Amino acid sequence: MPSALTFPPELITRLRNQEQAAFNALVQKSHFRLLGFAGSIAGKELAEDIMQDAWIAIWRGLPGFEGRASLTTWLYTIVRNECAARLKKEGRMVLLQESADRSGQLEDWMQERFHEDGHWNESQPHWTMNTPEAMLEEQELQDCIDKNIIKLQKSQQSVFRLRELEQLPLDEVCNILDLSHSNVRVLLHRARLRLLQVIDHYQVSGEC
Amino acid sequence: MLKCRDISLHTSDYLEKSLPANQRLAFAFHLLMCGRCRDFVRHMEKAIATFNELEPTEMSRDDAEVLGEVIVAKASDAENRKSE
Repeated sequence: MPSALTFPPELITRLRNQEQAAFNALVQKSHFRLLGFAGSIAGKELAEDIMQDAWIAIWRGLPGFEGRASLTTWLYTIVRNECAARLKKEGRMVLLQESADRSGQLEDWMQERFHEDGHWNESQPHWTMNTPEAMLEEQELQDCIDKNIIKLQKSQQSVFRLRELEQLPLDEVCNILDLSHSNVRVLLHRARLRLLQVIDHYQVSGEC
Repeated sequence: MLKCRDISLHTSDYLEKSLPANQRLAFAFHLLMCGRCRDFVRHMEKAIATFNELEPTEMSRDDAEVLGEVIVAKASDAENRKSE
């Protein structure tokens, strides 16, 4: 099952008419995804609160949703705006512009994996689960990836959620996060490299 | 001449087809010559395919009903206060 949120046209029509049951279905489907996204921008401690305001804004905005962007993009844009408004109120900045990996994990990985001359110092780890299907059958691995998505640096996590989980086009990711193409590409790659390390480790050790 | 380290840094751009033509050619040429980089790129491709299929966690129907109704009630409270 693809991870991206999808909404049938019939549900979208009912949402525009502000039908309570359709709204409940939207909440059921997307709350945790949007909550995770809010957490990636504003931090876990503010995310629940922000989502309350975001859901109210979503409910109010539904009759005017014109479908120029996908519903997914529209939802994430509202959540992003609510995060920005809340952070401003708290006197904090939205720090999505950073592209450096402050944790230094990437640099450590580089040092471990490459000789000084820029070549790999060993073969790639042997993967026992060699297809996406095999990896997706392993619930523990999925849980491990989920756990490590939350641990990604915030800006990497925001980009990763929009691009990999929702599979939004890069242009839309840039628009929602108000980031340049090159910044989004760097953040996405760093997130992927980090999670590839997680998969490598699991494949070799069977542990998260 | 690209080094393996360069390949590891630009794999996403290669897979997203966002490398300029000359760099893409150099990347592909390096892959032809280097088994370790081919394995790395394959692993990255499989990892991305896995991320794209991760199952979203849904809220329970009961919890969603409660939350949905609370939100709508709050929205209409605020509307009422505004019109008073």
